[in-house]
Amino acid sequence: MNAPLHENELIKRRSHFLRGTLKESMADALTGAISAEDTQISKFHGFYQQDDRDHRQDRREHYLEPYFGFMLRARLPGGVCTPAQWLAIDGIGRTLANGTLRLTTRQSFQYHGILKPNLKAVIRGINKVMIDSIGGCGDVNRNVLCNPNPVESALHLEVYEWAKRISEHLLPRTRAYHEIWLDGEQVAGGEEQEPIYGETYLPRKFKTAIAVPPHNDVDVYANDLGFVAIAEDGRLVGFNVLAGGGMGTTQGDRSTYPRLADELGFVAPEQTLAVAEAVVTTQRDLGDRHDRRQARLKYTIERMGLDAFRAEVEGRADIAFAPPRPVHFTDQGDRYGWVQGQDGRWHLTLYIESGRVADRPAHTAMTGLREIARIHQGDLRITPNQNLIVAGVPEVRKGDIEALAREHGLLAEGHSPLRLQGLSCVALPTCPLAMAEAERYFPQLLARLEQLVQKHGLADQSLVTRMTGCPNGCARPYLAEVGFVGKAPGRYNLMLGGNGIGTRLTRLYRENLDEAGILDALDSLLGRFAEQRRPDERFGDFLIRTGILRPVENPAEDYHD
Amino acid sequence: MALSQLNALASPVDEPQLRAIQTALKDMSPTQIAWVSGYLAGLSAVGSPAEPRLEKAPVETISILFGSQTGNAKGVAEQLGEQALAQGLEVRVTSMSDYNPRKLAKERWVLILVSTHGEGEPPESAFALHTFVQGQRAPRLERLRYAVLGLGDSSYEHFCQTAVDFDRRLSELGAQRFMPLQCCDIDYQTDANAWSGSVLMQLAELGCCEPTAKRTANVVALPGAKLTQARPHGKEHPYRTSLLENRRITTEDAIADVRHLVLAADPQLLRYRPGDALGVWFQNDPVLADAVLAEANLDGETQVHLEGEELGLRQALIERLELTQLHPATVSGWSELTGTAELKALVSDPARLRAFAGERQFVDLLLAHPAQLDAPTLVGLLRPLQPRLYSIASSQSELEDEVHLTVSVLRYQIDGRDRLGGASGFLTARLGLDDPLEVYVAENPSFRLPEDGDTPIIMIGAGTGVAPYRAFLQERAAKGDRGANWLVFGNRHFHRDFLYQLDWQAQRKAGLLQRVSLAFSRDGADRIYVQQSLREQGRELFEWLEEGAHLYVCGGTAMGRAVHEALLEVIGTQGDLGQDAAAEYVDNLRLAARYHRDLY
Repeated sequence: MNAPLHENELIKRRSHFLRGTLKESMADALTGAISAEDTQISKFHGFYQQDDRDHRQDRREHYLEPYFGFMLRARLPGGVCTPAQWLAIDGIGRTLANGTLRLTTRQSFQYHGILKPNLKAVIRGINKVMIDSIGGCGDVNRNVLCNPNPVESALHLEVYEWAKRISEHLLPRTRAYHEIWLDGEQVAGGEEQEPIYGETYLPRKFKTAIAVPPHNDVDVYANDLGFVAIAEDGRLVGFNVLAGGGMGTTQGDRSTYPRLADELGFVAPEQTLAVAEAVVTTQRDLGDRHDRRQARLKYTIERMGLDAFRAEVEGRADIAFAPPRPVHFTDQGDRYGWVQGQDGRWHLTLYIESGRVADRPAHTAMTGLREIARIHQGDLRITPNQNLIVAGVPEVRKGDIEALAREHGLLAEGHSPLRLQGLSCVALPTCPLAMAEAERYFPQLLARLEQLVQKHGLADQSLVTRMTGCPNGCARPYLAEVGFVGKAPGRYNLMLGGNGIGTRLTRLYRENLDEAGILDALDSLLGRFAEQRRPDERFGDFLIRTGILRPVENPAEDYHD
Repeated sequence: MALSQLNALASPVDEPQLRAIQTALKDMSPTQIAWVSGYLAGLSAVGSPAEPRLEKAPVETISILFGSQTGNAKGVAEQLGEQALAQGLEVRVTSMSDYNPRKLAKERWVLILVSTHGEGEPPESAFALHTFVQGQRAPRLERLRYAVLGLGDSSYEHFCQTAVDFDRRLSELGAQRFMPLQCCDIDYQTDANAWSGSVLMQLAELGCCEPTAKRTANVVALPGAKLTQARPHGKEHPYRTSLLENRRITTEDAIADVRHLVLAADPQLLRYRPGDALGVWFQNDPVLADAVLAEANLDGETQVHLEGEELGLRQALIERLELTQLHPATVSGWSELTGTAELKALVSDPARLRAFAGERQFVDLLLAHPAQLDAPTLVGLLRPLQPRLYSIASSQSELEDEVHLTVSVLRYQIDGRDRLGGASGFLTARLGLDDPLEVYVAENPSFRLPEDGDTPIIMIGAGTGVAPYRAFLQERAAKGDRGANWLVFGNRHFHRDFLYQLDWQAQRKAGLLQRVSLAFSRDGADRIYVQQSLREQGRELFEWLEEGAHLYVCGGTAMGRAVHEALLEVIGTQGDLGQDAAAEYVDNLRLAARYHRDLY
């Protein structure tokens, strides 16, 4: 390939192991922004430059630059944190960011609207409670997902430890983060090495998740690298390794598509890190560094062929994959309310609408979670569905926790199944990629959809509904039963055909619909579903059985048909 | 035609001649240029070059020295000079900033016209002479005969203090006062005219410099020298312009509503230089005038007399009389009318009276202390409407046919009622796009860019005080000046009121703004102001000064004082100087015209 390297590759190389000119950018008081190159480098440090798009135009008319703020995403493997950590996270969000927290679909939390002069204080603040944001964004391994399985307590602990180990093992080794934000000592030139990544890191972001069947809440097939925990008698015996999943597409570019990860085979637990590293280095060396749209691992595997890729990984890891073990998934959502773990402790899954932790009239999630964290002695787990589990509650504290959750509107009770299974990304006004609303609009659309399912007697039907403001897929709309992908203000592509367990992709059903168009299309489909469905049949399965929708079988070939 | 447009191809003069003309005219004010044009016209009418007026200045020359900040003292001085000239007197009208103080001992006749600012301070241009005269080493002035005219604002505590200083000190030095000190208030024109008339009569009576035949002939031969023919636009002869743009440059949630205003300027008729201010004649809010009429129970159609003119009372209130800046004298007059004990007590306490007047409009006085009065009494109580001055935020080198202003809309509450500033309300709320208004250029010779474009400058401004620096940078960019520029700006919030942020960013990108220091007072827990910023960067500040930088300060008086203190402190610390030595260092900056202040 003789195409020139993508500009980002040159920026990475010039950055001297991710230092860039971040220090100079931070010191520049004339602007709330950082330099253009630094906006690429900052991602590796966990933050994106954004601006308030609601006010971009009027600020320009006032001769003011955009209202720049930064989104910082923490690294929190498996989404687990302690109440003490939560209190610190909450305090920083209230004082140094826009007053809210956002729980993400990758089990982390992110701050929005951090002003440049406050960035350092935010990073130092989370560092005080042993949390960092290294690789929160950027072309490296991102936050590692892990099923927050509260029931199988011992198994969860074992699997969670692997999530942490993978995250640590694939962490960049550069001291840039410590040097710039934590005032660590400068490393003399030439001493620094990135044994896994090299000086240009990966061609593109890289996502890893661990699922514990039968739950697929992590959407393990949507990840570049997936591990499906195989347990025998409650003990971990190994993982089915998956590779090549990914959600992002580019509008109008038919060479891009969402893709489910392929199975590579089964490995024993002690082979986990070697396999993870081998997949990463294969992608490092063979991924496309010319065209970022073609740079994710899914395209590398398509180009190489699965067998060649598997052989490459086996060679690099010096292992041989055993045949994958059979697995069975039953759901991709959260189990709300109280469940009891095998160790006798209780776990309460709370409902956080769109993952936004904020105080609003009659809905004081932020205060509520803070109150809970003050009395809670177990841990808190952010779920891949943007919710929060208060985990490890002894029987005697259940009443207190539940009372607080109820007082602050954190319980799932009273919400429809439709709403409880909904996911939406952040989108406007902060996300620079957004083409349409998501978080701010989704609740209203859900209210209309609730009327619709009610009308067809489907109010109790489980229906995974997800919305994103652009085709990049942060809320994984390509694995929903009903997905909305933003195309333009007020316009969405309607994606249908997921199976509710995250193992089948959606297909475009109607393009560029406004709200009336969405409701119209779903009204008719749900009507037919209500009349003709089989017992326990899900909506996506029905659409495919009746031929309304053709399933996506090989997205590289048939996704755009 | 603008000077910059002159070229040898389009005119009968050759290149060297053209350069000579341009050099000669380079730093002249529009008034001076107008005078020269008249002079040259006179020359061409005579048909041959006049004798160069290089003969020794007669001993009896009268020096008219003016110390002006906003151009008022200068205007009176020039008018007086013109009248004296017409009478055939030998006069020289000089800005105090261009006057060598040591020459004073050799003078015979001196007329001093000087304004007072802030808390009794002289204008920048008078600083050197004022310091010299007040100093212990000032020479005896036994030969000198003098008269002093002061311009000031009697609503301030130290009314005409600088004029008082000159008048007393010259006498102490042995000079002889031939006219008593005349202090003029903001509506100075009548008093100043009367004083000028008396001065000329006194000079004649005292036998100063009988006009010679030759000089009379000279005057006759130079009709253009009389300012009346090519008279530029001035305060009493304003230029009619129109509003082209009214743009808010703070966010909606900012405390201050600051507007960027663009006015049309025909470059043939309106010339200004960076640092100058624009005087704006405004009209009072008709709603406010009606409120006054209603409260006073008067008919707006009642005819009243104002300066020999007859007009309706309502029109007078809108166009001719001061309604928004309440003067202490108006309160005193009102007290005599209403006679309440409360008001009488207030009037007897000057400090309280000034504070009271300072935060109220006339209608508030009416509402709080109602009284019956007739139209002539009302008109007699109110002061004549005065134009307001705004620093110009653009350079004609960049935009020849526009004038930019940075206007903060003055909004406040009195006893729960909303009040709007007179001129700022007129400019930003009542004046529509393309509506006409009358303006004039108020020269500010003590706030000029250094002549040498390579000289570094430090520009310190808070709030709308940043306006002239926008003009400075435009000018330096247009001229290709290479001197380094350092902007020190303070305001409340980075995100809400960083005035002209995009302009500064563009200037930096263009390589023009080498250093920017910012102080936003409400962004953090600690209130940071420009003076803190200067202290923090004391080392660089001192280095720049040592390299010959000019220092500019524009903004409120309190900020000017705080910056001055910070400056003394920095110079003391960085230069390892004691208090007196640091003060001398700063005084030397002023004497060298490197420390420029425009405070309001």
